[in-house]
Amino acid sequence: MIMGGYRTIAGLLVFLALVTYPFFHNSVGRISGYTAPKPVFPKDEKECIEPGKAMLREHKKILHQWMDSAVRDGVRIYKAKDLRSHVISLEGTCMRCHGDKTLFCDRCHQYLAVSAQSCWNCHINVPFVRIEGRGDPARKQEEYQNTRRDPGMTFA
Amino acid sequence: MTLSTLAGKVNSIDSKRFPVIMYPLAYNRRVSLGKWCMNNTGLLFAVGAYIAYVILASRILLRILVERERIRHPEQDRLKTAPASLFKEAGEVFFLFRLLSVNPRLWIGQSIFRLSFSLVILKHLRYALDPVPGWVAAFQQPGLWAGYVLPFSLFYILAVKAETGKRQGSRNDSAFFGIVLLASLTGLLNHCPVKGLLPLDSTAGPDLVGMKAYLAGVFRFAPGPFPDDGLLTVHFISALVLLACLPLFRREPIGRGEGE
Repeated sequence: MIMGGYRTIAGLLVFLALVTYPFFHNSVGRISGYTAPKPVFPKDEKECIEPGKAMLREHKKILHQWMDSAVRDGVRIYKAKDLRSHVISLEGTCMRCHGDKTLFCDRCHQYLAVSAQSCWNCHINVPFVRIEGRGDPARKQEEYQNTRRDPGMTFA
Repeated sequence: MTLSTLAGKVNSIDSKRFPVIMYPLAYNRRVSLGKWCMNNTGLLFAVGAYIAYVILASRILLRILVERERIRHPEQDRLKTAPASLFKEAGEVFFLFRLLSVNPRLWIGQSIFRLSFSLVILKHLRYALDPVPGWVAAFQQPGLWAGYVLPFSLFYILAVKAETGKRQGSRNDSAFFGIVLLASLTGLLNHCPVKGLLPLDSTAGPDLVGMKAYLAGVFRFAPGPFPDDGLLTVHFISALVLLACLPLFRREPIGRGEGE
């Protein structure tokens, strides 16, 4: 049995304060306009493995597919929609252009409070160093198959 | 200055620096209204969001006035209610103790619905708050699970009510449940491509960064462009309708519960 009265009024005022809180949270000290995140893009590369708009929306799915493909199936080549081949490698392909995750991934992820633990639980964020032949898909697949054939080879 | 020159000037003004209230003046008579609406969906949805907020705030204030009147003139109140302790009232509002005693099966559904709905709202606060506080970030994973549970709890409640065969709620309740169902299903469908539940080629995930930038702009009275996404549009509109018709808890006479 709800009594109503002053308690109800207090509850309604608290509720009103809660639903209008985003206006105060966003506006105080930031009247000039919204600030969308600005990830740092590479200067010398114009295209990602897929079109930029698709990468913005679907990079998570692509990275999950890459993980399954590389770790479970042993397939290290990704055929893009434009039929170009790319090495399936976060550090070798993605970070070759987006060298520092704090300047690229984290910008949007922190903006949306999205965790990217599934990437950085295994990979490490180190500035990418270009190595001759590292981005070559055929060489990468060959290297991978060689490691699979060698029984003495272990993964750290 | 004629109206058309004023409209031209307003059209060219940066939306970040210009008050929203002047936007209707930006209507250029050389462009058809339909085209203008198509090009300014962000602005239209922002106006819709403000209207939804005004409706909700008006309903709350109206309810406060009614309660105030009731305190002043208790003898005119037709609903006879008994005094209750603060603990009892809080228990009734948050845990629906009365419903538990009347209809335990419905209580299970309502409790799950309330919990999952609250978690989903907390998860969605990341779009409304910038920067995102740590406590909102902590609710992301539970909010995700709650998003899957929410439509099932709604179906469960509807099934229990249908089985009881009695008219359990008002028409407003049915409308509320319908809107929540629409919002939750479109939200789930938005989420499916991201999680890989739908094929990559046929569907695209939502532009969450664009959506957050838009909402942050709305809350700062400087709306930007709305992301070009049909499903997201339906989800957003259903959320606005939900906001406007959010049920405020109501007083009921002694001995009458929702499940009776």
